[in-house]
Amino acid sequence: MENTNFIIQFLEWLMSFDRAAVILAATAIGTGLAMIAGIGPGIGQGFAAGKGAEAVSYNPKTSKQVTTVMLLGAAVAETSGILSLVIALIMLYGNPMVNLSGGAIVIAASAIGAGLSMIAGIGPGIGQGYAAGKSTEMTGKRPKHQSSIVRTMFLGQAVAQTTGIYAMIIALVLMFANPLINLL
Amino acid sequence: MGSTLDIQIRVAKGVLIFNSIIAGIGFFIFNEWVPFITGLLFGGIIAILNFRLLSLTLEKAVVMAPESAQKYATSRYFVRFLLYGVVIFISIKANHINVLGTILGLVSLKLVILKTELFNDFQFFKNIFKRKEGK
Repeated sequence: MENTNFIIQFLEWLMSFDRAAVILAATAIGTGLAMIAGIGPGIGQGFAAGKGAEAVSYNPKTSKQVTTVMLLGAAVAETSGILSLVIALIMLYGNPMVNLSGGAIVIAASAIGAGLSMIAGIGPGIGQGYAAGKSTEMTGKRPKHQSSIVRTMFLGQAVAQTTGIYAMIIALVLMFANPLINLL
Repeated sequence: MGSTLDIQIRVAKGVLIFNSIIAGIGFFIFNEWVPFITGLLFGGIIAILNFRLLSLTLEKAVVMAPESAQKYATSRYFVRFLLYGVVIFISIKANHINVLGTILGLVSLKLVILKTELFNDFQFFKNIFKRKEGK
């Protein structure tokens, strides 16, 4: 009897390809997925810049302080984008998964999973940008408190960055020390 | 223009000092230390230049209308993002540059900012954990 289960049919069709081709195709999907994290810092920095422009328009005398706080906050908010780039480019040019032995489907899924995990980088990017924007706004309103505002902003940003780093650790584990292959 | 030049110089000095320390450690850890230090230098310089680019963008953005400042800052971020991509790509492709050194160099600027602006006053952290019930 002909198999009518679409998923089984799809997997059988997938396994009809060469092993390396399946892994490389999954890597391509994973690379694209990892790059989605680059959106986060873009939104965050845009928000910070908008708040900075607002703060300067309300109180032009604080322009220097507002720009300084925004500059420092926006520079830290970029980190998630760099981490996603690193993972994507390692997958493209230093792919460690093609030469792995074990189930091709597991390795291919791990490549997609590594890319998927990097999407978490959107969160820190937007969150850090939001923190930078709000700090910029408050510096415009209360320039005397600049140093404590900046310190509080960085404390928040450093905590917000942790999820992005966890995501990168999982992506690196899936690529370089995949524990799933040994379970087969 | 140039209202944040003092902070740019301070961060650039911090990056150079930090990278010198990492280069010293790398000298003892890596057998092939020249590519590592080249990568560190490459990443560090690009990080400083991108920080300068960011400061120019934001100095321009603060005098714009909020909506156009948002669009301008976001579009410029993607230009810098592309630059980072090119730098990491070159480091992966070139044999005489260690990619780990480049990544460390790129991230060093963020670490320096956190060090100089967050961990410079221990009283701030003491106040966070100080119990106030007794008062």
